[in-house]
Amino acid sequence: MELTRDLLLDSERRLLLESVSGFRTAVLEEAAREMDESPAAGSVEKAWKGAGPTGLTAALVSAGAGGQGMDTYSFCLALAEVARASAGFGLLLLSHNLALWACEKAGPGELIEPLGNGDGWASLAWPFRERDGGGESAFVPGGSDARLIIMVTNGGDLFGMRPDSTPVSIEEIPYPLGLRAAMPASLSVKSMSDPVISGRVGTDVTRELGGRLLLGMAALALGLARQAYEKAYAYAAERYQAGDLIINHQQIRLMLAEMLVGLESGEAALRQAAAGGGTDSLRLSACRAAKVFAAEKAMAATLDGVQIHGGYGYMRDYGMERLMRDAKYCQAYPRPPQEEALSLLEEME
Amino acid sequence: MRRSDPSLGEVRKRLLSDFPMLEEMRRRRPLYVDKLARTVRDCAEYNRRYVLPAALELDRRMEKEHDYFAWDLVEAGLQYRFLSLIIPSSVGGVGGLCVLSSLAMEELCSACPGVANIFGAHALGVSPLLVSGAMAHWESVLREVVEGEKNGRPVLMAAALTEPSAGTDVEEPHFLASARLSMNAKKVPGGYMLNGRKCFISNGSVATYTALCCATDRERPLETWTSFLIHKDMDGFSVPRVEEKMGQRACPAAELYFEDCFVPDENVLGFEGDGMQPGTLLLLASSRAPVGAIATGIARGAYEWFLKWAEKPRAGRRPASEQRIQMALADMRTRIQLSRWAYLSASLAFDNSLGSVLQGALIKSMRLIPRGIRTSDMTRRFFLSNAGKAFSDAIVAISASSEEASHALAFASMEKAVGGDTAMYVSSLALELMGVDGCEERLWVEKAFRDAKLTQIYEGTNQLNRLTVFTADIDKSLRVELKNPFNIKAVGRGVG
Repeated sequence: MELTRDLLLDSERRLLLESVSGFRTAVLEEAAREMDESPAAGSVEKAWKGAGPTGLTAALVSAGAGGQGMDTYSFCLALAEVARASAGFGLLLLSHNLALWACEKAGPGELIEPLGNGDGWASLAWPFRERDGGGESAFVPGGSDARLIIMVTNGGDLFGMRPDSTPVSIEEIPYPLGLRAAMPASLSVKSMSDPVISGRVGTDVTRELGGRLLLGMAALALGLARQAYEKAYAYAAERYQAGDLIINHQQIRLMLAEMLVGLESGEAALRQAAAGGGTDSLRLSACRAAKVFAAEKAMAATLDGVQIHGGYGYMRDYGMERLMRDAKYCQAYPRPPQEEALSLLEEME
Repeated sequence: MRRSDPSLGEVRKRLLSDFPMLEEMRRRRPLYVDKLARTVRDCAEYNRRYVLPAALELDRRMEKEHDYFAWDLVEAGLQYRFLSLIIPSSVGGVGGLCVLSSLAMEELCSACPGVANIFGAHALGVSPLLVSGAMAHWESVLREVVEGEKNGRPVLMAAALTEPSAGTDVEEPHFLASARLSMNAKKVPGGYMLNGRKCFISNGSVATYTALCCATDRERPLETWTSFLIHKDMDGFSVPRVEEKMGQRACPAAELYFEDCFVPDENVLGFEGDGMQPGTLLLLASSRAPVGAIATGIARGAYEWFLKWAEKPRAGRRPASEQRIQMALADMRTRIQLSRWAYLSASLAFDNSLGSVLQGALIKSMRLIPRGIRTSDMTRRFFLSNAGKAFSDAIVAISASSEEASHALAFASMEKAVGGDTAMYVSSLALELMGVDGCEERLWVEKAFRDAKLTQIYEGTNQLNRLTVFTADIDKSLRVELKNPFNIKAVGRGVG
């Protein structure tokens, strides 16, 4: 199936997608269920090591610092491809890359290289709520196993701390509904004293960081939606009920068609928002809109994907239900859609 | 009962307040309304004492050990008689019908639909014995369930319709004729030889008895669809697989496998060929409203946890002080209440028509017959004979017309779809609004979201239920008429 998005890709991005697709089929698809059910048992770590050679662990790091220097839209394309197998793993990549990108803006290059090479991951605590000289974040991907946790204040100051350092308290979120491969944790920091790194990135970079996170989440959501569509379509083309293949039932066709409407429009919104770069409030608004829209469409597509599969969709070995659970967290993280929409309005005003 | 638990009077008052349509029933049958209130109160107490402290942990455990079964929770439910809620009082059951079952399901599911559905799936297994009028098995099988309940040895039941390549097809007569079936029952001397597979059977791995429908001729499934009663110890019957589900894990969904499994003639429920109509259609007319109630209970549970979350200050502010949260709460509350009224209406539609055969004077009068005669071999042989089965069919026909049956099925199908959609709407919206807050309330709502999705799938997908509304209620040319052996016109009236 080719979306309009696919037809518009230049050769460089096509090559990127082929490479990530190879990683998805060779590594992620096989590991996806285990990463969802027992992420801490080593499956995520193994896949992470496999991601190193693809360049995904240093996608946003500049070429000068040993990374890929990937533009935002290309990175989103890669994330969407990863999300088709594991949106949780995609979130880990997103959080890690944003953390390194922010670090690079703050200056300390010596920390970036080993992490960019796939030697463990860094995490971005976002949103980070400052409090009493420290702060907290409710959902930090890769939290307790991260080598480095990056926090950026609203004022544009960056701090990097190790999860086992004294002022840091980090707790795994028990049994999250979705995005489990990201091993999310809640973070509380008593004080910003003695950080591993610190620096000033400024409010423009902070806003850019927020915009990129939103676009990354939109990409993960669209990857889920696309996987749901393709799995549901394939199932409908072989499942026979009521005297015919269910792909020939009008109601099923309508459900699939609505998934396509969501995918086409979601991809267009993502492409447009990514082209803006997210560096001022208007473009950040586009990022918010793209994210809220993509996540909503992913939720609808994955729910319908389960529904088209009937009882099989509800069983874990078919992989459909995981898409639905992951999509729910794509709606909620980093902030609930209504809050995102209200911020959008404020920015427009 | 704990002091803080509501009294029977308080529960009855709340029920009458929430469901104004019960007021008329209270005037005519105050003791029955008391029975409803007592059951709801029991369910709430059971939830508080046994389910709420265990449900989250059990759900997590069963992700790793999907074939674990919480017999302790079933045993804890025996004192409340959850296994005999819809078993006729003539054989010692509580004697409830759809209304009782639905109210119980809503209450139980507000805590954990997985645990609740153990009792719900059990009732689904009991129902074929009731709607087929298989009275010969009432005194044996249903009596065994009742006695087991008294003696602390639960006897569970299940119903098996779905086959690997036929889910929707086996619940709709218009589709059954073209279904790709894997199971077959071949007539042999003295009974039938069953071969094939059933899948996604709730309680299938733990039931002592399973009521199963399959074709005796796969070339003519609609005409030969037949109900059988299977005992777990029958040779050739096995359970090769318990599914790993996203939610409602406490209630196992199993695959049943039959390899030259001999089932005696006496275990045919009703006549050969009666499996779809009246069999399955009556079963669905009786079961879809309680499934709607299951979904409504899930929605209510999610709503109550969300309300708790909304009332707790976060970052110095109560979410419920925000207008958007107030609107969401109001919308959830409204949909849940509408869904409650819908399931009660559908349940009353069944109880007042088809259900009256089970609560009606004719059946109750059986209790006047000395038990020695009722349980005698002669009586048993009569009810197993064609004459006895025709007698049972006649009772059904006397109690309800085909029109009433279609009406009950249409209402039940409407409500089933409404309930499932409400459960998904409420749990999904609550999660959207809560964000990634890692609080306890969110864990319960997340579980509700996973549990809720199944209510749009089982007991016929919501799409199939909508088609049933069309065929049973809108385009009457598609309506399937119930068989009526003596062409007796309906004269019976409802009980509600």
